[in-house]
Amino acid sequence: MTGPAGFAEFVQARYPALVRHGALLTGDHGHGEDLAQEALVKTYRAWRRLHPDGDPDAYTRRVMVHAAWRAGRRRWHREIPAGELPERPAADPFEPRDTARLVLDALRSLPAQQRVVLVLRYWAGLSEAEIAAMLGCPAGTVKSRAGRAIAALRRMDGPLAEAFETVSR
Amino acid sequence: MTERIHHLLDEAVAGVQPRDPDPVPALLRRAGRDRRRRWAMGGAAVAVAASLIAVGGFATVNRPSPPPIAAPAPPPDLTDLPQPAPAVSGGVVRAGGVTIAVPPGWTVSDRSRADYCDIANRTILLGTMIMPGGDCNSHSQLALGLWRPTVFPAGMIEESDATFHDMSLWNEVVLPGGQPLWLDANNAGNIDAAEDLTFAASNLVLPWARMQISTEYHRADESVLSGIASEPAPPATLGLPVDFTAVALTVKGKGRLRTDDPAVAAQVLELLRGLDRPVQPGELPCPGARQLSKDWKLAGTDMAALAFLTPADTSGITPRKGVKPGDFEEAAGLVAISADDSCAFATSAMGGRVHLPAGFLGRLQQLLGGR
Repeated sequence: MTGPAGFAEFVQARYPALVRHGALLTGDHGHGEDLAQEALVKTYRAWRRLHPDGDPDAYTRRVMVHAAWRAGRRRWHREIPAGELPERPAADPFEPRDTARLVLDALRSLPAQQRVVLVLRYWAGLSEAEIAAMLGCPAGTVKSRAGRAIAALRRMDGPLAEAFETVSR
Repeated sequence: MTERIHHLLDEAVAGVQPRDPDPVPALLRRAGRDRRRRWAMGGAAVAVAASLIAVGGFATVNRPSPPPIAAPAPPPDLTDLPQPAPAVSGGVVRAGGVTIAVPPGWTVSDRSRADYCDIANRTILLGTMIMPGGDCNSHSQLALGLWRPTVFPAGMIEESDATFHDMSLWNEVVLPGGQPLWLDANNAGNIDAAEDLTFAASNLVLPWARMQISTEYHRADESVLSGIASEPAPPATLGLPVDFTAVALTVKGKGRLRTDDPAVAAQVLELLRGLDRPVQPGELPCPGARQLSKDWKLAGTDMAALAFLTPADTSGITPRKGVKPGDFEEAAGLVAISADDSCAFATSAMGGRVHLPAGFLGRLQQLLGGR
């Protein structure tokens, strides 16, 4: 079972990069892969429009960004069971805290919408106007989310806090 | 430096490998399940419609809703400052839903900066940075500017274009048009005292418009306040933010309760979302409300302040030495809650005003760990 022509090839070629994109948008490897898969299902449904003349990679990434952005609206909507176990084991205090892990931990600590804007601004290199157009929200919203994300990161220890110390907003 | 940030983010996920080395079969299975579920929901709707037609009537039926095509963008919260462009026409200033009737003999100025002593008596200023000092008599003026509630640790002082408010208790006037005007006890007292004094100054907050009006007037010019109104606002339930990191409740005589616990914050939101009786025009102020000025009565007095907090964007602020920008929080949302069960209502700075069941404030306090 391979689906419509070109779809399997597209997924095999782009999937690892989409999973990494998802990891940045969610701050988590597993959630990032889930985000990529959910978006690819939508890409599959839209495949006739996207292939061969469209840009399925851009479409998939846009769907992922929208889903990650909307996830911020659900942040306080769910009951968090008192007995819920964390998805990953507690950090071993003797394990080396490498830079990559520190950066992902810092990203994960941000509210979803702040994280999305931060990633689009500083990793994807989009302008505030471009981000606002992508998300369908006012530029002021993008600016305030980015400002709050930077303020929050500066309060933490670690490489991202140091890197943002000299960034002008 | 942004290259450094890009590099850090890149490196953070460079080692991420997919759990599923061949996701295509799983994706196709998921796509198939989604399609069958959407057809089933559509089929259920068709079957229900057919049964309604068959019995010759209509009734309210709970049907599963079709999945949304695209979720709407979240509403702007108090941190999304609007950029209202004040306009004057027909003798009325309009900005962000605020309307101010320009009284006879008053003028309007939109200068970006002005020395206090250079401002003519009876001027309405739009977005003007007023430089204090100079040797002159006080004069009557209304200064319209942006409002942004920021919390900071007690004792801190800062300077900026915006005015910062502690999460103090609010008093509420229902403006013509229906929107709220908030003022703290100090400013309410200033207006009250104008009856006995020759001059009064106060700060009035229009939270739904993210604007404030700083007023100074001689007693003879008090009627300028009656010209402040809002564009018509239909009754609505409370507008609430979605992006925040803490919730704090300030109650008169009880200090402040605060939680950073997402589970408790979710329960607070559910409690507020359950308030489904909007206050209708004419229902406020309640009988016996305190008269504040010739034209204003206080619909709510010493109302508790429920703030939804988030780290502040402190650009434009010069904090006092020793204070770090990270010490500041700002309110993404604010709800004023009356403590008077005989006239119980809550108003959101994001719009909406609702009736409250008896004991609501007490329940909220218990939720946040108070008694």
